[in-house]
Amino acid sequence: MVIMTAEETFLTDFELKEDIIESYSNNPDIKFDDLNVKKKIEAFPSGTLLEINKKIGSPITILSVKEVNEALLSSAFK
Amino acid sequence: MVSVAYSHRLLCDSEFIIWLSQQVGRETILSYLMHIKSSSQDCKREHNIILKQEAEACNEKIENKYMGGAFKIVEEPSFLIKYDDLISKTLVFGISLTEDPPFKCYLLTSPEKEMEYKKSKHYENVTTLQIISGEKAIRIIKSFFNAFSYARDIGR
Repeated sequence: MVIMTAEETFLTDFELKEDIIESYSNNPDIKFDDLNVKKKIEAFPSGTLLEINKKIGSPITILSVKEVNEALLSSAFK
Repeated sequence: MVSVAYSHRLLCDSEFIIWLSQQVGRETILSYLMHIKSSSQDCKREHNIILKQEAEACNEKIENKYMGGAFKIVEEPSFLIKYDDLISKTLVFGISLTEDPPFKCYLLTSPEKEMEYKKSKHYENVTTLQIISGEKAIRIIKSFFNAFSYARDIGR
C-alpha cells in the first residue's frame, strides 16, 4: 500500500518500453514498489507505449504500468 | 530503441483538439500522436507541442493527462508577450520551432481556423511552417505513425 506524504506527488507519464527500461537501468533513484511491475514492463514487445503511474519523491517509485491502447484512451475525450 | 526522424514537428491549437474530439476514431489519432511524441529522434518527448493557453482552452474536451501524453504543454515564451492575439502568438511560436531540427513544422488546426492563420501578416512568405487541418492533418499524423510502426517492426 502506498502512503502519500507531503513531499510526494503522483504523476502519470507516457513512455515507450525501451525508454522506461533505460531510465531504471541507468538511474538508481528509480525504484519499484512491486517487482512484478518491472517484470510486466520487460514482457511488453519492443515499441510498446506505456502509461506509467509514478510517485515522485526520493526515490521515484514506479507504481503501475498499462499499455496505451484504444480501450485505455476511451476515457480521454469528455 | 524506436527512434524516427520525422520531417516536421507538430504544433496544435485548441481548435484542432476540439475538432478532433468530434471525430470518429479520435482515440486512435490520440494514440498515434502519443507514439510520435515519444519516438522523435530530433525532439524526443517534445516533438508535439501546444501552448499552455491553448491546452487550457480545451480542458472540457480532453483529460489533461492525455493531452500531456500527446503534446508537450509549454508556457508562453517571453518573446510572444508583444503579440496581442492568439493567432499571431501561435504563428510566431510555430515559426520559432523551425529554427531547430527538423527545421519544419505543421500547425494543426480546425478547417474553420485554417484561413484565419493563412491571412495573417505573420504568415506572409513563410515556407517552413505549414498550416493544415481536417482530413489532411489526419493523413499526416497517420503517415508519421506508419513511419513509427515501420521502425518498431524493424526493431523487433
